[in-house]
Amino acid sequence: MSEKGLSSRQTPSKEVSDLLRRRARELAESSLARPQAKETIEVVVFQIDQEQYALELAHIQEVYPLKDLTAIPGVPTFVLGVINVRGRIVSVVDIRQFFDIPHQGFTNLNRIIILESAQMAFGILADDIKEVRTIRRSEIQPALPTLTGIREAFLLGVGDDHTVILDGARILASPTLIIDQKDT
Amino acid sequence: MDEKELLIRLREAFRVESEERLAGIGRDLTALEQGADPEKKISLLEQIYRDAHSLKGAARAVNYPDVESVCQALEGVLSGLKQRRLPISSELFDLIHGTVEFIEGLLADNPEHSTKDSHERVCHWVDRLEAVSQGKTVAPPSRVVADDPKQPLPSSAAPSADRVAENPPPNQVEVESPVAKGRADELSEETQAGADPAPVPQPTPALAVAVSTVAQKKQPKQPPKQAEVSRVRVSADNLDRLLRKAEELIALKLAGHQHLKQLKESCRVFDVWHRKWSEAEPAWRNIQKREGANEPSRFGNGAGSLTTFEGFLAWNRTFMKEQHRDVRAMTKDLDTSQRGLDRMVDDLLESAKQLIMLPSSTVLDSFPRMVRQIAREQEKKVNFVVEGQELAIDRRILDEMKDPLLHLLRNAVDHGIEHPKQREKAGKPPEGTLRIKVSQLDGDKVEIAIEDDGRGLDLEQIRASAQKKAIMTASELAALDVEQTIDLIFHSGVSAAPILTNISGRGLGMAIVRERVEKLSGSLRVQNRPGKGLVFTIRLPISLTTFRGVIIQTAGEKFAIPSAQVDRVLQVSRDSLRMVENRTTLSYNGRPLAVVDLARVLGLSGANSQMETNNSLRIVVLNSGSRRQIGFLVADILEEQELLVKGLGKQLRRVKNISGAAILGSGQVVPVLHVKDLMIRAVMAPDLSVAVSTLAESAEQKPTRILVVEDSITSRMLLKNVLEAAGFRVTTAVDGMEGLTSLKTSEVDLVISDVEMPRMNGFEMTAAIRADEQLAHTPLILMTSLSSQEDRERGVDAGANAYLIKSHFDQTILIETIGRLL
Repeated sequence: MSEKGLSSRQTPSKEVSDLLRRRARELAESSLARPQAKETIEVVVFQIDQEQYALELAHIQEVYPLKDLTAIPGVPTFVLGVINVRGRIVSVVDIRQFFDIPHQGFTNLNRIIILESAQMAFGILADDIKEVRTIRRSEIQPALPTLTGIREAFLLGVGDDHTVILDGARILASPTLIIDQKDT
Repeated sequence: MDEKELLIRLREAFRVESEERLAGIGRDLTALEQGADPEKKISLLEQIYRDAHSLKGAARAVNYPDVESVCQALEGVLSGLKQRRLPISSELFDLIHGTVEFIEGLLADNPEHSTKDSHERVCHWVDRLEAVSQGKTVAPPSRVVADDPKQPLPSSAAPSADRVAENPPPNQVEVESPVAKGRADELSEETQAGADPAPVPQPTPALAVAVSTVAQKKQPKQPPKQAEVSRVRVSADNLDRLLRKAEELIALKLAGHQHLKQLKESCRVFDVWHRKWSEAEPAWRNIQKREGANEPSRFGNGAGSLTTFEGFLAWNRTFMKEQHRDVRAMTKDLDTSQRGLDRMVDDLLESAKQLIMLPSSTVLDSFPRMVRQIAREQEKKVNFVVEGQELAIDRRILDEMKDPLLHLLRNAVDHGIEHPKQREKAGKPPEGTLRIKVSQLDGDKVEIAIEDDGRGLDLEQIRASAQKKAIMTASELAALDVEQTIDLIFHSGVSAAPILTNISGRGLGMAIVRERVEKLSGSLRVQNRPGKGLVFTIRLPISLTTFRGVIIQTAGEKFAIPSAQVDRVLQVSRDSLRMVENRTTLSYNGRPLAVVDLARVLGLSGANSQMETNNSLRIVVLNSGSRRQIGFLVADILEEQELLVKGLGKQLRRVKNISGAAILGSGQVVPVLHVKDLMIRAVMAPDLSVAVSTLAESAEQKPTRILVVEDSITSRMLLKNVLEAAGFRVTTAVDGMEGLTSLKTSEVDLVISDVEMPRMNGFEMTAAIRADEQLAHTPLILMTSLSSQEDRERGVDAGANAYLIKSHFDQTILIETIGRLL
């Protein structure tokens, strides 16, 4: 978050500090405590292959165009490589591979959605960003078992237009995404 | 900001301040204790008093009553010293040193949560200090001297000639064992002598000569006290952020260069237009003349006339020339401002780097007290010399190096330097010398040398320890040479000390010392002089951002290797490889050097193509700090350059063989190889070595080489993976232009290309390939999302052998198509 350039010495405008406070609150909410949380969530809707996915805006640091990806040898295949985001190195994940969703034809993956929490940061490769949308929690249906194979743990559910709503907090907190190859 | 927030911020500032003040007190105290000229002593004492006083005030401001009351009591003792009310003794020094540590302890345990227990300890300590300041426990100096004739006698007032003649190293700090107590006594006399010369009893010259320690080395100037310079306190985080922002500007600067280049390209496009126009103009004039003279009526007059068209051409010419001029002017302006930007970015980056450079004294200052303490505990005499405190080094490097240096110094006192009696038996002066010297090497490197004149390493002991820990068998150990044996101390678990003391085993092992040094892309060398001492030489970059690396290429990927760990790059003929004990080796400096294929160690598909085609091999000889070297075969060695090195981000915490990522001048990211990992993997897996016999085999069956031309990075990667999995050797290009260049410069058996691409699209490239005599027969597959019949025909017209639609992509069809075309 330091990238935002808001040093603690500056006094942020009320608007900004309110926004930050709200985000902080949202980040602090554990996904388990959600039933009591507010009615709606803001999500970014994006497309990979023919599927439409959504992630809560609160977890998204920024969307960055994919320009040059550097492969890193020896990492699991779901890590496609790293990119240079204004001098900072960010790893890029193919969530289809992570969720074992089969590739369906060629896609035009050219957007990276960067997710960030205090302990974790990575980019998800996407074809296209569709929109930012507010959805009611009540509209989210539990995921069907037939659904594309995404483990239920990483899902909030499915929206009424079949948009797969991912659980950003769980994904960010998941140790299975962290690569830590200890010395032999 | 509410009050609580303010307090938190103040306490943060206090933490920094207290560390500095306590380190200052420790440093001045040690200097005071070792003896300096009277004036110096007064000023040192004054400085210590001021530090304690300020610390007391600061502690009060942040509401740390415990710290405040200890400081208060300490101040009482110091003021007693200042007023010469209190006699000086070595016990008193111990007490003050102890108090500094006590305060450090208080601060470390979160002073805001003072417990009943900690409060009691504070009260106890304060009582002790107060008792001392009232003169209850320390005897007057005259009595100490009189009662204990064995103690070394004061010397400063009448230095012996030979001591003065000695040329002491700069900034020397001495540490003494408790045996030499008299030093303290002389202080009070000195202090008196400075302030009020009349009543001071001068020691007799005869006694002064008898002094055996080096107390009288005249203290050269202390590191300049910088309190007078105007300063502000800025948090380290803010500075780091500033540096990062400055580094980010490099990317903008480079992007600016790119834009300028494109604009210059546009200028050249106008030149092309101009040339074409000049070529066409005479022809046009001819037509004009002929048609005008013979059949003027054919073109007629009015709207459709030749004259109108002529008018347009004239306008067009002027218009284009104007545009050309504008673009040229724009290019010139951009060029000028780009130059300005370059200079400013470089300056800013340089200044930002300077900001996070700190004198090495920030770390070194904490050492004298620690060394003194260990020496005291072990009843050893150590003359601790610090050199080069003024040299500025990147703060992040200093932070990382503090613990390793501490460990090496501890080891030197604990295991290296012998007891005075042992030293005398060995014919050495009873006082050991331990030296830490920081010096700048050419340009961007620093060297830290830690040198002692103790017993050195006992190789037998190391071997025994290694055998006990089952790191190697006895026969393996017997085969090791001296260097390799010394190298064993860097294995965790191997100890060079016969007995474990309370000091060794605490803190870091040698393994971690080396790990840290290597993490900073430095190197570590050990020189053992059995019976005479041990020297550790650490070489480090002076700043983390200025790091030199060698860029190499293997299996089509670029990697950076820290220059510090590259011994040499070689180009050798394949015939010079020999099999020795089932390993491929090369004779290097008269010794066999194991050679492995870097691509295989990294687990990259597609070995180096030069292995089949080229008789000359490129090898990078790497070392991991020790003398052990391994040659790594690479496809190409591109250049050595300055690199910006970063971590791999939060997700990739530790990746085998990769230590980070370097950002090249162009903004491109290149993985930095972890040399130690590579060495381990290369050694552990013997099959990694390039088997000379398989080289010949693979030379016979050349794999099919496919060029993939595709601007989308994912499609490019996907195709590459699919094709490599099918056994093809794949090279890639990002557009038609690059594809064409690649075709002309390397051998390609088949081309797969996208259609829609910048600069030169797939149709244009296909046409260009078919028009080239050399390349005309290369099979070519166009792959695109365009699926109209028209596009398909256009592709075939251009000369493509096959046309595949991306949305119907099926890898088996692709492989089949390739099979049909070859």
